[in-house]
Formats: sequence, C-alpha cells, structure tokens
Amino acid sequence: MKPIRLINLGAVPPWQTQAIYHALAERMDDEAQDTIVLCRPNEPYLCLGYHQVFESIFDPAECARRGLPVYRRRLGGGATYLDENQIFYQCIFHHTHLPVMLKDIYSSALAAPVNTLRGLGLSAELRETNEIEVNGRRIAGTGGGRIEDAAIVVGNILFDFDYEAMTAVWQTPWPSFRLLAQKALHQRIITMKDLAMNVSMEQVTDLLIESFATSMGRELELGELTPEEWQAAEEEAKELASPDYLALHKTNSSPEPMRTLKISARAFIRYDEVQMDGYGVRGSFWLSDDVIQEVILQSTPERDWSFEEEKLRGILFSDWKENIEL
Amino acid sequence: MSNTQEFKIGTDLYSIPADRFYGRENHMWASFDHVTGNVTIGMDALGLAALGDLAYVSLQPAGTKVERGESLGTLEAAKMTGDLTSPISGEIVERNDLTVRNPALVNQETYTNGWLVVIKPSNWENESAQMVNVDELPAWVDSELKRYRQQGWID
Repeated sequence: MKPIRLINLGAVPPWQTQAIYHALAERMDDEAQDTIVLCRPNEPYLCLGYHQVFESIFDPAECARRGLPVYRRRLGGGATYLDENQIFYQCIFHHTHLPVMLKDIYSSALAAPVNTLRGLGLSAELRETNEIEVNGRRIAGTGGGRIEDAAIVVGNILFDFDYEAMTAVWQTPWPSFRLLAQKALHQRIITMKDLAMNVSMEQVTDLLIESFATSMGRELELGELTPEEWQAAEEEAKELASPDYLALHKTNSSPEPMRTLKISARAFIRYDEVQMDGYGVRGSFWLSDDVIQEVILQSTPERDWSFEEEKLRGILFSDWKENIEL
Repeated sequence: MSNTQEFKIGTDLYSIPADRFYGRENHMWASFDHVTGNVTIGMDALGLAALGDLAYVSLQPAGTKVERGESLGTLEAAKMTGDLTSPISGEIVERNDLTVRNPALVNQETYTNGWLVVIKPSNWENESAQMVNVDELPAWVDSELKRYRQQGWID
C-alpha cells in the first residue's frame, strides 16, 4: 500500500478548509493516494451539516451582519462555527483502506487526535462512537461521509471557542431555547484554553502527524496538492457556498426554526409547546438521555412557572405535559 | 433452504430474507411485484449493521429516472453521510416519506415498512440476474461477513 500523503496547510482561507477534502474525495480511485490534510481557517465561518435545512439552523440576517460566510459540507453532523482557534484534521482514504463498520472507521481515524491529547497529559477518550472528550467534556467536533470511492473523517481540536458567535447565529424558536443552549454549550464543551494548556498550534500539529503515523500503522509522506487538485477545490468551493446547495432539503418557503439542538452526545436542547387551561405554554428543555435536566417555561398569558420548572427536573421529556398541574 | 438467512455480528442477530434480490456491493434489497411489475427497494441488514441507527434519510422524488448505481437519495448515521445507490434502472414511482420523517423505521422494520422507494424497472431481467439471488444468498452473506472481518475488525 502507498504511504499516506500528508498535507499540512497551516492557516488558510475558509473555503480551502472545506473544499480541498471534498475535491480529493471526488477524485479518489484505486490509484489515488490516501491523504490527511491538516489546516485551520484564517477567518471565521459557518458550516452546515449535509442534511440540515439552512433557515432552520441559522439566522441569515445575523450571519450577514457578522459577515460570516456559510458552507454546506457533504458530511454529517451539526452546524458549526469555525475559526482560527481550531486545528482541523481531515482523512480522505479509499474506502477499502478503512474498516467497513462505521464505529471502527471513527475509532481508526480518531485514534490520532485522542492520542495527541493524551500525549499532552490530558485524559482524552473517544466516547459514543465519535465524540472526543477530555474530563467528560467535548473538545472536538467530528463528522464523516462516503463520497464516491472515498471514506472521509474530519474533526478539529478546540484551542478556544467563540460561544457568543456560535449561539448568536442560531435560529431558535424562542429566546429561552438560546439561553439554555448557551448554558449547555458552556458546560459540555471544553477547550485547551479552559484547560490552561500552554501549547502552540505548531506543537499540536507535530503531535498529530506523529500520532497519525502510529495509529494508521503506515508511512506518512509530506506532500502538496497538484495544480489539478487546486483547480478542483476552487470549483468545489463555489458549489459548497452556492445558494442552490445551501437551500438543499428546504421543503417549504418558510422553514420553522429548529426544535432540537444537539450540544453533545449527552446534551440536547428541545422545544415543545402545549395548550393547557387557557395558557399557551412554551417550554425549552435541556435533556440528558431524554431526562429533563433543566427547563424554562413561559406562557401566554404570563404566569410564574418556577414551581413547575423545578418539578419537571428528572422527569422524562416525553412525560412533561402530564406532570404539569395548574 | 430456509427462507431467511441469519447471521450474528457480536451478540446482535440479523436476518436476510430469501424472497428477494440483493445488491452485491451496495446492500440494497429489491423485491419484484408480479402484479404491478414494479420493484420495491430497501436497505439490507448487513448494510445497516455496518452503519447503526440512521438519523437522516433523503429520497429522490417520484418521477426521477435512475440508472443502476446512481443515487436514490442519501442517509446519515452517527454523523456520517452516504449515498443510497440504486440496484436497478428505472423510474421512481413512489417514495416512502415515512422513512424520511422517521429513519429509525429502516432499522426497525427493514424488510417491511422500512422500504425506501418503488421503481418501475427498465431492465429488470438483466439487472436482477446480476444481483444476489436465493441460491447465492448463503455464500454471499458468508463472503460479506468475511470481508467485514478482514476490513472491518468485527469480533
């Protein structure tokens, strides 16, 4: 088997951090070299998961006001805010060079970032198939996909995270939903800065390269993109940011805001509503394994719901309506 | 032979009914309706065992013409996307919106309510001959499990 080509791009414009791996995947065949790309964006941007509806996730006006470009990737997972405080690793392999079982694809590709973090003395673990956690909190976003003959796994390591920017661009059904989401995000995410790690991006990049060589059990060969690959990436970038592509999966002219938001494998924010004894009750819920951890209730007409909010903690989300008594 | 081929991955037991055809590489099943001449398409248990629980399914609308090997839609499981490729050529005459709204149906009722599309085939005789039939089923399941083990590190 050929050595894995390693392309270390450093800080590059946002389009390159999405378009290059798509272009390499499109061109994958029996003769192509497996490639790992390491990079980070030099400016912030937003990235939408393949199956998400743009207007349900992002507030287009707020994205525009902040000057944040949006790309849709052909990989799974949720919407993300990405910036220069995150290192990206992108594995683009012929699908026959990675395991068949999805959980094994993740464990083989994500062993390197996990070992990198461990190499820095952190208690990193791969949990719930594809979540990299340190001290039980998520320190990376991951995703993957199969494009033509390529199997792709991508992820990052968070040095710092702009919680304010991430939460400001969400299209939420109700202000309390955003409030709970912000709180959950702060509690469930962890960064190198939070961990007071005095380590440079270059050091982490070097550790990632060593770790990929070890975990993949194959030689890594420093390489560059060919002119044809650059050209293909430029074409991909236009597609990933095109209005038609961003509008994928939109089924009506005014999509509803999201009602479920995944913060991590064990933290979801959900919105629900019910009519009850003359009150229109709207609830934003923070769930862990479908159990309510925290809830904010509001109603029309207004009323103090603090007693009910307390009572709903620890109850299954599916049972919340039955557990409210007026 | 038994009308269902059963296999285990780890401790989980899966089944593959022998009353239909299977795509050799894409793990899609195809069931021919002798009354309408149409073919119902779904995903088989071996393919689903590799993926786990589906989170999203999107399907091409009725009226879409597909060639064998082209995309019928897409899926997502554990934040990983992939194409649902057609095992036959023809025109999609119906899609199962229930699976789009509730992808878990594909995992839970794989060979019944978890179907994906109905296709009016344009070359059923030739293309079904290239799929796995009832006689080939046991050997094909064994060879796929062997491949999963070699490539996939299943226990």
